[in-house]
Amino acid sequence: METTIEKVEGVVIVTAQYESIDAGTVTDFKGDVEAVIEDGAKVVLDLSRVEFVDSAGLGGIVWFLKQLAAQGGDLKVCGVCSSVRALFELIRMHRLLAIYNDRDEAQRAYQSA
Amino acid sequence: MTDSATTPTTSSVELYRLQTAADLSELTRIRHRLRESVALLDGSVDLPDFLNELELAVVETATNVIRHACQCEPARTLTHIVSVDGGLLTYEIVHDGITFEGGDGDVPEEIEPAEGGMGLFIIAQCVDSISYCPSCDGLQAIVLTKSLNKGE
Repeated sequence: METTIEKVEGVVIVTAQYESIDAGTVTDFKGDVEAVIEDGAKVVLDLSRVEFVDSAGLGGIVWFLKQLAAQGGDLKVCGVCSSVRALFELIRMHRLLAIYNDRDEAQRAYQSA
Repeated sequence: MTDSATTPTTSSVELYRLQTAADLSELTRIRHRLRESVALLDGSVDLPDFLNELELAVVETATNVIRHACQCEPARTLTHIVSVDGGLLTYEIVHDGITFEGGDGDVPEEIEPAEGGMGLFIIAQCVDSISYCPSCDGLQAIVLTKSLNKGE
């Protein structure tokens, strides 16, 4: 598993340890995060260690969000490097999910909601 | 699989030629080799942005070839050729799989985030041109070009 999972004050922090989430790794990524998909789960996906994401990786993140939403949960993303942020902007990911600078900011957003 | 830097011919300079298996696990190596070579280029472009866009287009194209043309058969070989001619960088991927075409007409002007179907849009946004053409010996090639000159 190249993903670490921890629970902090009711929020599940998922840190992807992949250098890239692409067509070659997205199946493993989805397998890793599947464990946190449960009723009402509030999840922060920390991408600060990820240097590259392609359309398959984006698709994996969208899949993760939809799985959580289907069970009344939510996903926020943080730690997005400049190249991944450029792709997010190109695909307009901000329309689908909230993106924060770091995990503390993302976690606080859940607590203030 | 081989990897070689080559010497200039006419005005076009081949930066490298890389052979890989038609396997998605090769994407990281394809990306790293591209980044190492292109990072050394001179040009008026913002190199980090240029590299990020080129890297995305190359990975999306290679993924499509591996999946759709070569059907993820690792015994098949892909050749990746990167060259520069004046202010234009060219990436060519040659494969022996089935004929595969994305088609410019199929690419929407904008898309929404989805679980799939975003690859051709990303390629179209990140390079100046994409062409699908037969190569020699019955092989197929896909060629991407991107200007090294800002604003072109």
